Amino acid sequence: MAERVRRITGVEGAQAREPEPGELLLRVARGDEHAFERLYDIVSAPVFGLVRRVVRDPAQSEEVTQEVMLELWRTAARYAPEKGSAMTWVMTLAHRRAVDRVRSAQSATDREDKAFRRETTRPFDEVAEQVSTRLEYEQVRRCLASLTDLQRESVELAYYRGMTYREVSELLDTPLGTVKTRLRDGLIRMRDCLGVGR
Amino acid sequence: MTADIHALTGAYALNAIPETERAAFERHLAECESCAQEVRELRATATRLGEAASEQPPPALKAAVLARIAEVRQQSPLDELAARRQRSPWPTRIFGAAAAVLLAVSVSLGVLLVQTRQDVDSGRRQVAAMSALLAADDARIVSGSTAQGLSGTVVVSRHQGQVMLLANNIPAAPEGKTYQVWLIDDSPAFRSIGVFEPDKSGRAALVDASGVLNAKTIGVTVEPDGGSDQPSTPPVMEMTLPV
Repeated sequence: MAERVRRITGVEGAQAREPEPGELLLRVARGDEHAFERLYDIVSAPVFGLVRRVVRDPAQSEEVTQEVMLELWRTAARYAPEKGSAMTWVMTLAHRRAVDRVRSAQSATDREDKAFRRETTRPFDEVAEQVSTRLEYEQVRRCLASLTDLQRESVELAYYRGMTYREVSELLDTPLGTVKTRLRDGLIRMRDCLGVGR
Repeated sequence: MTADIHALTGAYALNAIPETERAAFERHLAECESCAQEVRELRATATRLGEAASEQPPPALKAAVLARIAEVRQQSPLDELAARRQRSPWPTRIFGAAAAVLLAVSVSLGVLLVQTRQDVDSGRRQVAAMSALLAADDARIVSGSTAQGLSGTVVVSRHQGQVMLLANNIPAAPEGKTYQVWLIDDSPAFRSIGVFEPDKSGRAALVDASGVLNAKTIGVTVEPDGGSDQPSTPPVMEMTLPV
């Protein structure tokens, strides 16, 4: 088993010739363990990175990543290519799992506990900094920078912190309707800037 | 629908919509193809944000995952139902409360269904919304199951205008299909209160606050993805609502 732990290097160059995640998922659905291993090599870094951003705690992030990967294995037959790319399917699942983890941990304490709000104010700067220094893709960074401050903060808190728009509204002390709108028009601006789905 | 609910596409794509509002928004999505398209695009956009945060997991994780898949059975559409029978039911506190007021039920089951898209696994987060409804003074609960092992529990508060459906052992909908829930025998005769897909354990939950009014029955049909204006198939499950 140990020799299988070989770290994958040189992914950048190899990636273009890798089979598409969607194609791999179809093979995984038929029980192809080799295809699953290749899928793991492609999606594990995006999944782990996103989960880490939301969950923060490294040990828990590994657990959630493992859950996500096992869920991909178990439910690969559910992937429907006409509804979106495999990567979107995988990342939506990963985000949901990560958010489930932080919200269930929060719900025990944060309902009446206003200390939660004070506590959350501080890490935002930290998150923003981490996110901005760690973004691997120049294009995403550039597009994020093109948002207004409120759009960007709202999108980052919701996505990278797993907050509901109501929590974002409280934290930023901004009306609910404004946050909803900023999340939407912020993402639309990102979509157009990145040329997604057009 | 209002511009206000339409504005939730962003929050929804970011998974930032509170569980209590999810059903209402999904109902809107079912009726609004341009919104559904926008959600797809915004999800793809969010994916780019996620990918931008890529970070290699520790190498040992891969070995752990590969070792585990040897022990994890893959879902195969045709025998999902059998696999689900062994899985856990809804949280016991909900059943504990529900057991207090069991009333008459009629449940009928038609089709055996296969395969869905993605896991809506939101049961945990819905517990808070459900607790509020269960605490309503006039909350009434009906529950029933079929010989095949499907079961459903419905909680209604006519004062609050809320209804909640919990279903268990539901097979995934066929490719391109979804489950749609209707309030029946009111005006209009069939009013959609949303669509759902069972999670990986075959559970589904839907909370609706749009007003139960005088509906007599709640029914579930299988509809094309995105839902229909009117039921296009006979119900796979129907339950009489308590007065």
